[in-house]
Amino acid sequence: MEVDNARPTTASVPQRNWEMSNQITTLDSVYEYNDVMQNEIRQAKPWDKDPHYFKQVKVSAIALLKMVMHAKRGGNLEVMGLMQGRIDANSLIILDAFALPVEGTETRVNAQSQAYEYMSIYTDLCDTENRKEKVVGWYHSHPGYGCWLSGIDVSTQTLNQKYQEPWVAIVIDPLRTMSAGKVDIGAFRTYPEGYRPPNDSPSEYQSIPLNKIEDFGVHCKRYYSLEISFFKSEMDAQILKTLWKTYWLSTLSTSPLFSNAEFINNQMKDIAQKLSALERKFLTAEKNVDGLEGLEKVVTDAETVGDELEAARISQFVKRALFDRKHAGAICCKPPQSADEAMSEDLTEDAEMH
Amino acid sequence: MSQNKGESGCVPTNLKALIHPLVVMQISEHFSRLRVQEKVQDLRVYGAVLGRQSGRTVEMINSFAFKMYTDETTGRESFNLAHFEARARQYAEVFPEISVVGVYCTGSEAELIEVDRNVLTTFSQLKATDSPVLLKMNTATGGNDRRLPLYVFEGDSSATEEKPGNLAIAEWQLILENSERVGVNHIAKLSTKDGQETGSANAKQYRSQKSAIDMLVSRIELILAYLAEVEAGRLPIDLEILREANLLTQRLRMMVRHATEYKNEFDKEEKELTIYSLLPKITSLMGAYAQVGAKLSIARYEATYPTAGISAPRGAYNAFAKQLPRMVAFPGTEDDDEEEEEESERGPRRKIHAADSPAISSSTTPPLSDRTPPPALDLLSATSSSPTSEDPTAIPAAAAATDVPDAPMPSASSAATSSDV
Repeated sequence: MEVDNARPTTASVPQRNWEMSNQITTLDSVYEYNDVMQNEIRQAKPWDKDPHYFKQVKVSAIALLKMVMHAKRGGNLEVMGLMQGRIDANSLIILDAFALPVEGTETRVNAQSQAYEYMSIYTDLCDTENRKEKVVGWYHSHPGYGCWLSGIDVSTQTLNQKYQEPWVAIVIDPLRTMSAGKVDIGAFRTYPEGYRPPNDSPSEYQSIPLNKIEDFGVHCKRYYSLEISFFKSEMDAQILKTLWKTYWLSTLSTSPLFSNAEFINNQMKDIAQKLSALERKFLTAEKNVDGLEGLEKVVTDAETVGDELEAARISQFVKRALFDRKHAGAICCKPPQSADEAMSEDLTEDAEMH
Repeated sequence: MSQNKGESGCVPTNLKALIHPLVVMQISEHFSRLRVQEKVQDLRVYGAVLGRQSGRTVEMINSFAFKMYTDETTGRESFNLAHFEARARQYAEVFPEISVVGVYCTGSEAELIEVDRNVLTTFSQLKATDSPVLLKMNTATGGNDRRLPLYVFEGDSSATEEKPGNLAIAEWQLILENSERVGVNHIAKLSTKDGQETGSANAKQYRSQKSAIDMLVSRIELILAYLAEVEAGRLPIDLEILREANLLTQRLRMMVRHATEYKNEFDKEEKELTIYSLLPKITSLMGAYAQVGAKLSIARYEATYPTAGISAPRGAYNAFAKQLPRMVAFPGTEDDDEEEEEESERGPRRKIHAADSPAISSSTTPPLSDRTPPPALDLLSATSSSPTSEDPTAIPAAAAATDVPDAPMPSASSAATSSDV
């Protein structure tokens, strides 16, 4: 298990000595918080001069877990929360996150003032707890439509970057997270108004549902995405190792086909809609090169769905090979006393196959 | 999975605790962060546990940190009540379905020390719950592979500072929400340098299935090894383990009994899955088809007009792309689409074969004639020799109306050019 050790770039000598004498690994020094340094950098505001100043976001295990669970809990509603952390050269380090009592869609700018009171109480309490990290950004969920900033998100983020710098936006798609079995997450910062980004390479393609595509297209040049990495403390690593020991049960007993049925259906519907939209485009519009590009995108979407279905198929077959001994192989002719043995043989075969 | 075995000498209770990893991770974060920031060796952290209680089961879902203080007159250490109430209110606002069910603490031992008891007593006095629980994490060992160093104690709800009441040790079990599973899995595996796992989605799925199978195998091997040792008389007989093992084999036999039902169900799902996967397959086929078609028309154009230069292909590309809709039409209804698919494919296919003949290819020229007008003679001879194309002047109207394959939609000016010819 390799871990990105996001340690402070300018650890002082006494600090290092202290680390050594206390046997704290460099992994955990990410939790170090230097008031003076943080204040200095907040005064210097290097991000005012360079719109691209922040390039990376490092998220702690607990912050990620909290955000994912909060987003999932919101279901098809958008939820939002704030993140606490610090600045480390060109990265923002997110150490913790907390949920805000705001739900629903397209109300975010107003929600900001509603949530403000909650936030100030929360952070005041944090101060008394000796928790030093400041609020450095917000997160919200995009259930089912991917990680990007909508028009409202862009204005919220721009507003905050004006008054609350440093500030970063993180978006999580809980539905895609569940369907892909991998956290779907993006971190963004907006450009100042009037700033024209240099021709940066287009970001990695992601599928956006038809009814959101306009919103995406209009605003997608007004922000850039930051690289995200994750870190965990030494103790987290130990806990996670132990936790993994209980996962295999759910890996074997659940099927992505059932848990994500609704999401897969929606994705198929979206593909069908996009195809018929393309058809109209081909019939009417002049620019068919765009149409071809659109078709390519739909194909990418379709391949993703295909992968998900294939993943479901794999788990179905594994289940069958493991537990339906009568039809899965010749093992069934063995006497029932050796059931365990037969099964384990079957398993080893399977394991080797893969 | 893991269970307490009454190590701390407390009486067992029938209370059962279900612990979410989030709580454990939060305690770990709280501890790790403060240990680094406060530079204290023997650090203890305290906090509240949020969750649900139903009957004798406590589910621990979330947590927050306490603000600790020491009473100056008595020297008694406990948590700040005002802070606790404010925090609890805030969490109730965001997570109305869970409430404070207990407290957590860390330490370097499995038993409770005085401060732990004080905290639990203070919490019990709040009467927030009938069976206040304390979750203790031993931060000194970090746990072994099989079990986290967690201990759950049930306090006495009638406890007071003078009379702390009895403590009972409770069983606990880890439980995972689906989102928690994905999140934890993500951190456990993907926090490598670039934050990404390599390989295709399927490779990942194979890997996770394989490691799950490995775990299952290792468990089964453990049981088998134990049974073999017992048989050889090297290990004492544990009736409970034998019973459990027997139960497992019986369950397997039950699977055999219901094998036919299972097979039918499996086959049905398998068929459904296959039908579903037709959608992505056909769509990617369409995409590949369109690519080939576009490239073909570029090549064809270049063959026809070797001097046209770099700007030429776009027109040819357009000309081909016009025909795409027939190929990509893929209505949402699951039942009909295959038929429609075939129908819609017939057109373009015929056209592509026809396109192989230079004759037809020349009929794509009208829209491009605004660039390099071809020699009039070429066009004339080509059109007249073409078996399928009609009078060039008739093409524009027909093309627009009926989608005749390979018939582009010439602009008014190009139509004029061709009729002039």
